[in-house]
Amino acid sequence: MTTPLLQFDAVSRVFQTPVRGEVRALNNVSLQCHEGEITCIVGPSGCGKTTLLRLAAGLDQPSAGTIQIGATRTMLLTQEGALLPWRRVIENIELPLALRKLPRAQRRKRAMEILEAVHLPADVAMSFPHELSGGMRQRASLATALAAEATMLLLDEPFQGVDESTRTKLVGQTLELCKQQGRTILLVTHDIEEALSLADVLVVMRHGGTTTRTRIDLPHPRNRLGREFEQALLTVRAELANAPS
Amino acid sequence: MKHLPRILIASILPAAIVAVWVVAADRSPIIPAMGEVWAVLCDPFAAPKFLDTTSLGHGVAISLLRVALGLGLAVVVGIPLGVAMGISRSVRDALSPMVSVMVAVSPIAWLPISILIFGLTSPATLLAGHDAWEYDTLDRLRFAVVTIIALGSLGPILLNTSAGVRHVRESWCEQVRLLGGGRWEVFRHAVLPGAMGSIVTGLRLATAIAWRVIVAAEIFPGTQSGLGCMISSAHEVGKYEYAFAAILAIAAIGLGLDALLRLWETRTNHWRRKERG
Repeated sequence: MTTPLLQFDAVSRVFQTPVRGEVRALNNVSLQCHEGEITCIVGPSGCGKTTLLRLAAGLDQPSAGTIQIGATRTMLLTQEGALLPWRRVIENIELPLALRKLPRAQRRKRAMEILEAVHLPADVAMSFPHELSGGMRQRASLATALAAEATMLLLDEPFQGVDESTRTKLVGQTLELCKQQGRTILLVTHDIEEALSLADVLVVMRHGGTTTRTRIDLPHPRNRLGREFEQALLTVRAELANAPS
Repeated sequence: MKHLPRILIASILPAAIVAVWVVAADRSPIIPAMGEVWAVLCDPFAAPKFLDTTSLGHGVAISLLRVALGLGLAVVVGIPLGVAMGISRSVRDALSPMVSVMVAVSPIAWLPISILIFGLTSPATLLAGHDAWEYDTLDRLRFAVVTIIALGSLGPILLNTSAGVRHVRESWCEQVRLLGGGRWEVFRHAVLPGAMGSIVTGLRLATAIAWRVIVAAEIFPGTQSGLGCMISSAHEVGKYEYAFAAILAIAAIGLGLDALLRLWETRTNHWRRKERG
């Protein structure tokens, strides 16, 4: 067993809201993500998945429990993408390199290499994020995360707004790239099939608490029409249906 | 050819004004002929006859310098304070009443008080004391006038900077933080560019106010140069061709400054408009 890059121990997060009073977004959640693994969290909308990712990114603090982040750098990619809208694509990719004080000439060269690695054509470099399609924007966001040398990627339904065929390709390429570079992934989705086809570990979550953590031992690439996949899918669906609300 | 109807419509009002001017100049001894005004505009550095002021060109330069100095002062004070107001609620609460007063009171109303405080001091007084008159141009940039331009420009700069900073999305700041940026990098790479569109809008409003205030301030007795001074001197001796030439120069410079700042504003805001779709 590898060392956990991320560990949640009995973590709760409570928000005070003016209308609904105290809202418990996470309740006593324990979770581990190991180096190089893909952990997928599935669950319905509003079950606390995004809160969990923000805590994992260090952008929020828990109300109770402890979080240990072993990753040197985490990156959060959401549906909105992770690009600053006033910077060109290449300038976005260069930003983490600039923050690491890499010389200007090396920055541009490295950014162009990363752009190619995420399968974006070179002419996209000088475009602004709003000039790109949803899929291209997500690739550019991924390129920024790679430039930041994030050891752990936190993906919050990042491919949601993208059409089906692009999405399949994008998910496949993202994971292949991350696997090649040994990055750890924590992916949140409400698409059970997608989670099952990608995950090394599948966590089913429902309204504030993790319910089950299952290791998926099916070989990659997974055949969504295969019998074992079907069986695993039925099990997860049943777990989701039976999970306490 | 496509734009011809629009050009024609846009030309109607200026053509009507010219026509009224020609007729009025013909019938009134006060309204100067277009040719006389044109002659002043064509020779801007000629000393004006019978007027107790400098040439039109010199007046333009002095007015622009006064505006630049006052506006510069407002930028140096207003942008950091506006950023502080945008970031901190306490600073906003502390400064808001003062900003409201500043916006509500016409800057010209402060001029007598400003003269009382600063008297005839100028950057030249700081440099040479009693020999300030040796630095002619610097001596004309009286602190009393520069201060009221700064006061008039400060309101829009403060309010727009503060609003721009308040509307910076938290996700942009978080993004820079996740990429490895500290407080200064978050400010430099997220807060400042995110608020820049609003800051430039504030600068554009401030420049328009400063340009209007300077003319009014220069009309005030005691000022010896500048476009406003030329208008009041021309009125005193009835040489209205100088007043008209100064008014046309004020309009042209005002339009030019506004066009430049609008271009800058469009450039800094381009991503915001596209993002909204």
